[in-house]
Amino acid sequence: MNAIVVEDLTKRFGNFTAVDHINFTVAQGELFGFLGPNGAGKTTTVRMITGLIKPDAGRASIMGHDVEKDGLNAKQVTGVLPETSNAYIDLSAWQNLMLMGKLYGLEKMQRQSRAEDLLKRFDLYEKRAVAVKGFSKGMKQRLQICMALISEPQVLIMDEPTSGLDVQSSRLIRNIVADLNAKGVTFLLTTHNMEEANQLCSRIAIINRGRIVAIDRPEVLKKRIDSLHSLEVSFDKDVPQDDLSALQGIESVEKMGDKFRLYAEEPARAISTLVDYTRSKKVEIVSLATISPTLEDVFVAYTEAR
Amino acid sequence: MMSGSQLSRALAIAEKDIRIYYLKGPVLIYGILFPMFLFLAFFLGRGMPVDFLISWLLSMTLFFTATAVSPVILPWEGSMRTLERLISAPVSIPAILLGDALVHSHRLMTLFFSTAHLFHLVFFQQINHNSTGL
Repeated sequence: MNAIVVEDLTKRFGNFTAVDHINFTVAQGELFGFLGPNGAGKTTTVRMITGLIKPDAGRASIMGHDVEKDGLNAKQVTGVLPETSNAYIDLSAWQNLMLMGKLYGLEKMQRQSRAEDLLKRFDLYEKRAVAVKGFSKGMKQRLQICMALISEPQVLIMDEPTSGLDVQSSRLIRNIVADLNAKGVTFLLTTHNMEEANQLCSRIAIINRGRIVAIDRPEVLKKRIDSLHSLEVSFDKDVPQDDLSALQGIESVEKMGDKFRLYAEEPARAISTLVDYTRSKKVEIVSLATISPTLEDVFVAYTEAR
Repeated sequence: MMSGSQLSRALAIAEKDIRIYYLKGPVLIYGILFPMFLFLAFFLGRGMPVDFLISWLLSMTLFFTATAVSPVILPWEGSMRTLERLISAPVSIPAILLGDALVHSHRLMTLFFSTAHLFHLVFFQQINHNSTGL
């Protein structure tokens, strides 16, 4: 059974079509990434799936519950971390969690024990009685994730969970996302962070101008644009870029700090030519690596070219 | 018809509103400062009796706070970005509105009972004064 099903979902704002007949499914226990440039329609899609705005056409369902017709049951099994939401800053972390527990219909003992566990896990227990207005951005984000997790949801929808956070907070959140996913929680995660998507997601969709332009496993997408290989090489002396461009089998050269990125159709032949060149010029190779396309390359290829 | 679980969620929203919004600036200004200045104006300017003015002040405070708090809640939730959190929880829109309205009625009920209590005190004091010939 699919945890999330999106069929022909469409949203228009006046004449502008923000989301244009998109379709995708997220299997139970999957960690699905939703990537796209600013204004591509990611947040609008998430807002329709979470029932915050009504679609103009199409439908979405969570664990078999239609988000429009059976919205309360769909929300009951879902934890949401909206991109633009906030905790109640006049309440303490504990009071915020108690409120969310009550809104999800949890018993008193249940919400108290879960809140205690979550606050300890997210390193907020010592500050549980402090008003949230005194929290840093990272602490507020961690609290919001606790608020999304208090109901122990089967599906978690997170819009930019690590956006603007420091390395420690981002790493903590990524580890917890991976842990929960390993325990069977389904995730729909939107992010701008390609490394995060690459590390966490088993499948990703790339949305551009309201349409899904690619949807597959990250490695499969990388392979699809892997027509031109690249080499990263650095030397012990300065080498003119023009010399490298003139070498046989090398299509183009980019200078990157003290390194060069060489693009070639046949990397083995390019390496051989390069070694011959360094011998003839008495230059030592300090480092040499073949570079596979990154998810960022995939993202750029799909969002710029189309 | 609202289910029992939605009703208890509405009560949770009302409890949250009481914790947060009773101490907000506009509520304090309309609910406390405004009646206080009216009290001083009538007490100093027109020399009205204090026992009458206290019951009047209490009624005014409760009435103005009650009417000030309800229009504040939803715009405040919108600007503080907490409304999305509330809407994405399994709470129906009628339950959210009921929760907010309960804050208003909480104040109005307090207003009703306290005014009735004060009226009773003042009125019966007056009767006691008259009956004892003082």
